[in-house]
Amino acid sequence: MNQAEGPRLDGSLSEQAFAALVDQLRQRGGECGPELVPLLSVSHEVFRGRFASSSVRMRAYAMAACHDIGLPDQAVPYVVEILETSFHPNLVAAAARAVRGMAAPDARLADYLIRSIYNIWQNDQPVSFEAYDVKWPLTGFSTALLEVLDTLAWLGASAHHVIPELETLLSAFSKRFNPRVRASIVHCIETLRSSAADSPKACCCSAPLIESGAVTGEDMDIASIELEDQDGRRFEWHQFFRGKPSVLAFFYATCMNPRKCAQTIYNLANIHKGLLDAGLDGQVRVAAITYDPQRDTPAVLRQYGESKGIRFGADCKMMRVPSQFDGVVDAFDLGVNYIGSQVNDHRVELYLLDRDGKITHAFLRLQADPEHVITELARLASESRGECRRSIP
Amino acid sequence: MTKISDYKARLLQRVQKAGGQLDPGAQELLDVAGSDEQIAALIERLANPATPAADQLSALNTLATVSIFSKVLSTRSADLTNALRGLIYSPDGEVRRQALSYLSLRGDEVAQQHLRSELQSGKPESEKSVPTYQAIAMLGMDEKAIDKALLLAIAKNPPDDESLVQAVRHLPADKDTAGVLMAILQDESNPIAARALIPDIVNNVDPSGFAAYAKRKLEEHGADSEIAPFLASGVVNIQPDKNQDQIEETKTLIRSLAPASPNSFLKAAMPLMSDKISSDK
Repeated sequence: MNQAEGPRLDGSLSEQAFAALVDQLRQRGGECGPELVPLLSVSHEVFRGRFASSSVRMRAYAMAACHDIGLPDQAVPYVVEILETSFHPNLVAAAARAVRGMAAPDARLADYLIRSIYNIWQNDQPVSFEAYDVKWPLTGFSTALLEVLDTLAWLGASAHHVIPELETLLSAFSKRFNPRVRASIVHCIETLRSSAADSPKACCCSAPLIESGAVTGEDMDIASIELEDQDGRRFEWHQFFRGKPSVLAFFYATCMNPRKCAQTIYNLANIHKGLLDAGLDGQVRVAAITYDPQRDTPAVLRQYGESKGIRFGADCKMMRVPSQFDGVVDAFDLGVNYIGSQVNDHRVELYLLDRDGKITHAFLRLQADPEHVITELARLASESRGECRRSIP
Repeated sequence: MTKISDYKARLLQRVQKAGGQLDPGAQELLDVAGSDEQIAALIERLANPATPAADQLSALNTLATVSIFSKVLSTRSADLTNALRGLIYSPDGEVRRQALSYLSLRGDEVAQQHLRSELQSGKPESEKSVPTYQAIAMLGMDEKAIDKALLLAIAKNPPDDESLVQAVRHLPADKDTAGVLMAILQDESNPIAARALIPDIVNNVDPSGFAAYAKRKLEEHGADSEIAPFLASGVVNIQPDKNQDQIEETKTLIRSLAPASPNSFLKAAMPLMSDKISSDK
């Protein structure tokens, strides 16, 4: 998007102007896909200073437009992230709708769509993406669950493998759905069965939809940034993150999404336990840094960590950056945004750093696989030992 | 040890036994709660613009009551939200209030956006869907639905006393808010309901500054003023600070005033008195 010609894409843009921009892109069609993708990122400047619900609504509107202009490949990780972690009916509906903008159905999305049903079935809500501001009540409307089921049906033969999951919804959880949703589940099962019979079994690509893993880390200019741990001890970044490889997760204690921060810290506790079981005690460091240094005081960090099973020690800390967190956001290009000092949205993020403090792996948007993290940390620790031996004359 | 299944069975027996003694009104609610048809009909009444306001309120009350325990209603949440979002613009003030209240309690983004727009709009109170103080209370149910800047703007220029109280109640304690809150506390023309909230909000932002103010007011007016018990409570709850001498001086003053003070002051100062007794021992 040419910012010199268009409106300023920052927090000063009105929601209606944002929607008008998305509508323009939608009218221009498929060529605009790459211009739409940055608007799906929680950390885009256009979401700065907005209430969480406004930011969600705007992102959902942009996401739903991918249905009309075609879902660009670069947008797929955002779709997957929302289906896996979001509890917002509007966002989930938009992500499910966007899938139907793909050039061809992709079997890998079916499992994410099924999981999204369990995220939103307690809070299904009416949705409309025809216009940004609609007049309520709507006479005919879709809902998040209906969008998900429509998309599963659209996947056709490639979603054949989730028929048992849908049957379980009908047999074990039938009373959790109203007649319209139940009818949609039945229709979805019938469509998947008939499309599987009509067409040869679709190839099920096993490559992950979100690539996580090795990155080429650059030197980060944050060595002197001050950190404060769960006991109120203060030290500089390089004192903790240099000398040994480390795993670093970002979170904040008042995050209300159980698939994000709480799960991230439980996962980190499991990774720590796995590292100890693998005999890596003393060779690697484990850390979590809060997105919300104002509210997450040392006492909050300690209480939150203990409640999630974190075993604090010299090599395992939860920390805040009391005064220069912007530097950390820039260095890691963190996926987080704020209204004032309050987080309005963020993604799941966990990093591995080598003994020089450079990023070697990034696990973004989905929870990291503990086995993968432990294996990579063990390799980094082994490299670190080798470098230590070589440096001794 | 009692198994969960035994416990559940006993509970069910008790409910079934009690079921025979239910009054007709309660039985009717139970019937509605379990019936998809009846719930759909009530929602339809809400969505129909021709339904009189009294009938809409009756349907809203029934749905709000059964929402606490009805599993069927939760399957109809999309239909209910759709109808209630329409009622935000009802010409009847009570229908608007109840619809906004129900939606806000569930974090509905459309209701929240509507309430925020009105708070930011500068409309006269009489033209707003609900009064400012109710809008703040509704938005305040979701920590992320209302921000400091909006609350500060209302606190500095409230349309009425109740709105000032609600704005103060929801303001966080930090360096940006402490100055405004202290000014409200010090202005004796402000309602005591708002001023009384402030000591326990600001006391740990600038502990020695707050302690100095409390000491000065207590020296000037003694323990009899309306605000005195709240100042005492604010000082009692101060965390240890770098300038502890200032805080200790104020605590000493409160201890000296307490024996001859009204009950409310004595009650607020009591933790300091027990500190003194234990240190004397």
